[in-house]
Amino acid sequence: MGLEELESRIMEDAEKQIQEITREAEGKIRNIRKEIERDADREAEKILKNGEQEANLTYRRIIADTVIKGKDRIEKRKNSIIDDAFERARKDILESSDREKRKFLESLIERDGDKVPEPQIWVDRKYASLIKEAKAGDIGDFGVVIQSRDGKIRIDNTLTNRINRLKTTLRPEMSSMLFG
Amino acid sequence: MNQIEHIKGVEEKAEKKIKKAREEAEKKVKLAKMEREHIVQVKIEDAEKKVREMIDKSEKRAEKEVESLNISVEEEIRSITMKADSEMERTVKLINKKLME
Repeated sequence: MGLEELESRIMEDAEKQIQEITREAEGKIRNIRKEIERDADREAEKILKNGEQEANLTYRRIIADTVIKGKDRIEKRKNSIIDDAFERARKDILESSDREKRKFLESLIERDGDKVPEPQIWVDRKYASLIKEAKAGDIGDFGVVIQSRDGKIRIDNTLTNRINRLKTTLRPEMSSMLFG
Repeated sequence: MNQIEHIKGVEEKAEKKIKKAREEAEKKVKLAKMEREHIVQVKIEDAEKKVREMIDKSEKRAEKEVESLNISVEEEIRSITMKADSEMERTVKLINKKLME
């Protein structure tokens, strides 16, 4: 083997090795990129999946909130109509004639008078003239307070109290009458 | 002697070329690895943008539905009020009657 041939073989071998190194590196780079793409796609997919759920939840939350608010508004309107009916009833009584008022006070006494031993009837000073057997006090409302002599039993039949009690018991009947 | 020296020189030159090629290959591999963060970040940003679009779309779809739901509620309230107005007198009479009982 001549010198030139030897030299050329050495360089050829080196070239082959370089090509092999380059090929190996390119393979590695391809694999790395594939792996990176796969990982990145997986991350993106996870974000998109969660985002899809979030978007659905957002839609459902907005609709549910609106439905709840709507029901609440309807319920508030119904309550305000019921309150209005009670206010009108209160006004009717307070603006009725003295005869009517007396009749009302008597009905309140009759209603619970026998539930209290030795009952004392109290009315507000403003209405004392309507019912002679009652004592006048500062009740601050129309109606009567029935109290035992020793003060242990007390029934508050003032108009506000009667209305408040009726608000609970009469509501179903009123609802079906007004909104049924 | 000169020939041996010459061949040694050629071998050294070849070695250097191989070494340089190896270093360059390693550098390229290293660079490829370093691209990871950037590629992942780009894909994540793209996905996040799509998510924002999906949510916006959902919100807009819901807003339309909300509009129609609110109209239904208004109509129901109007109808409740009308019905209640027509029954108010009868209801007040009932309350008065119950207050007297």
